[in-house]
Amino acid sequence: MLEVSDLSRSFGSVKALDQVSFTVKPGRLTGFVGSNGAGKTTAMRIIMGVLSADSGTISYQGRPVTRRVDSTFGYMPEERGLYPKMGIQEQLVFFAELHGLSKAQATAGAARLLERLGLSQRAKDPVEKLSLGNQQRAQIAAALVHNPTVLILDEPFSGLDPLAVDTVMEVLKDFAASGAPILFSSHQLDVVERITDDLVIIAGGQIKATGATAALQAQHAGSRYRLRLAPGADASWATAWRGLTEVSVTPGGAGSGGAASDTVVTFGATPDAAADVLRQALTFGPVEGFERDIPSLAQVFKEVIA
Amino acid sequence: MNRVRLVTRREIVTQARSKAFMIGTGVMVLVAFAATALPGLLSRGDEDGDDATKIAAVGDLADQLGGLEGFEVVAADSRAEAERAVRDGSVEAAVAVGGQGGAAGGLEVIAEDEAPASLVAALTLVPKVTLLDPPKVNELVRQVAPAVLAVVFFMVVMMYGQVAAQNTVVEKQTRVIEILLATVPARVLLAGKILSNAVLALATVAALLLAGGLGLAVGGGLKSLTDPGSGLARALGGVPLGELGGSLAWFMIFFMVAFVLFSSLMVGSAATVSRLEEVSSVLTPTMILAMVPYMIIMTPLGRSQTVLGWLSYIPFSSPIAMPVRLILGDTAWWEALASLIILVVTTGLAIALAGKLYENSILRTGARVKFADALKSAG
Repeated sequence: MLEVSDLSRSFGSVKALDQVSFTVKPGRLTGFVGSNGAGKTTAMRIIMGVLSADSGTISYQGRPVTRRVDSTFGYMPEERGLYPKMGIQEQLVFFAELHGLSKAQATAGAARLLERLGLSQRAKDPVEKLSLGNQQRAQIAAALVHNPTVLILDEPFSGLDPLAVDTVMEVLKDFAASGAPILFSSHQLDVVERITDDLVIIAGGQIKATGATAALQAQHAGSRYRLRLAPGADASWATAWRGLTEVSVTPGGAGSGGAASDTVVTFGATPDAAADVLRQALTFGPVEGFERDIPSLAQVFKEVIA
Repeated sequence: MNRVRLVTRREIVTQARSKAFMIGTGVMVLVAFAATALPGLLSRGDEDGDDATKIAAVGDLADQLGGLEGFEVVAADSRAEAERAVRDGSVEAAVAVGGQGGAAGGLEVIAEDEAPASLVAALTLVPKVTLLDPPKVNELVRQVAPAVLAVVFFMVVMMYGQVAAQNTVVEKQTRVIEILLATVPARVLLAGKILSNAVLALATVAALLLAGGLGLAVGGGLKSLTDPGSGLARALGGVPLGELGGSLAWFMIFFMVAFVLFSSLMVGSAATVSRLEEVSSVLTPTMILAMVPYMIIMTPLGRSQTVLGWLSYIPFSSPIAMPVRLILGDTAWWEALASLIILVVTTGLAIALAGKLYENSILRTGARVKFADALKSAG
């Protein structure tokens, strides 16, 4: 487990981090979200020892991480950069060796990662000859090549096409499965939503929320429900039902190409009133689905930092 | 230590792959070879042709001149016959006794449009010279030695200092520096950078010396250097080569320390800028530190014993001035040692300064970081 405690850091009169504390649990993908300038990069740089904190501590498995005692962490900085004229494989081997791997381990690790990221064909090419997407993959490989104990990735998905996003997600999930804590920041909340186990939300240098992603979403779900009925069902009764607020009915029907869409009713209600609605719906006919309306991460984020 | 080695190796490999660098070094080595080989080759060509100058001697002179080294003497019956031989080119010159208006018993050299200097010299009486207080070193060495040392020192320091400075900025510009710093401490990177350049510089100096030595061997200069009667040996004024070698060994020691001094300053300064275009301006202060002593030593001012004496203790000029004084032979070994200690201490301070500049500036991209800010701020 990686623990960040009471981290503070100022640049001149600007307080970039103010008593920031959170944990990154082993084997969990932790998303680090916040607006531009919220302090994500500063916090990550401090964790990596690239920047020093004014106060606060970082510890890994209960032991304090002092400046570069632990070079076993893997890092993908926000500002990407590899040696432009050096071959990718050669470069990965260099970084792995710098992290203390033997030449043989480094070479094997680099080859495996390149294969995994679909870069084997380009292994000998200098980085500057690669497309931006491939440079990004090479950058991720550089963070992973030494089999890090902790992985810190600053915006790993920015600049990737959807296919590459999937590849990288798979690689990260696999890596998390090996038991390492992973912290990654991202602006793409839809991507974060798809893969994070835990979430850390930061705004203005202060932590606004932490916890399991699902728990945070449930916490912000409020009292809205979603009822899905068969495509042709009549749901006009719902609009007149007592005790419901903000009822909206989206009638279903035959979609183009023959696929029919459900009739969807969303409403705000107390749990008891919601249960009544469900019972009523069942008397009219089949119910395709009934659930508490889970807010998207984007909605949670807006609520948290508001 | 292992990580310093990795960084050093990467820098050297990268540099060795750079075409511009290899061509530049190759040209330097070729020039060194050509400069030492060609004069020997060309002059040997002359000597071969003139191996024995053919001359005519009138009458009895033929017997007397018969033993004259380097000449093939042909007897001529009369002055007229000798003149004819000169005109038709069968001999280069003729020698006769007396001649009109000549001193009694004096010799007359007859040639077509120019008398062979070697012949005139061979027939001239040179008085024996005895110097009561001979200079230890010939004037030529006095002039050439400082220039050669200064040029070698200045070129190598400038060339490699700039290479190291540029590589520093490239890492900053391409942002690879952040991954590097997340992996190893800044001082490891700095050490690797300076070390790799020292290795490359030493290799270059060695290559230059080798090329020069090879050039001397091919051009026959080496023989003339060791042959006491040769021009080069005369030019060296009888300096025992061993003693010169000792001074050169001192030069190499001073050179290596001073190289580290200058390259640390250059890398430290370079860390404060973010773009390659800014490198030359940020290096200017260091360049001036290297250039001023170089200029002084190259000018007549550098021949003043007092000036040279002072320069040999100032750390930025001592790498040139002290070896020059040693070659000129007016210096005791302890003076060299004292100067070396001053240089080593200064270099230590320079490394500390460069380390601070480097650590505090290397992550700050954008505008150039002011030296004062870099020195006082932390992280």
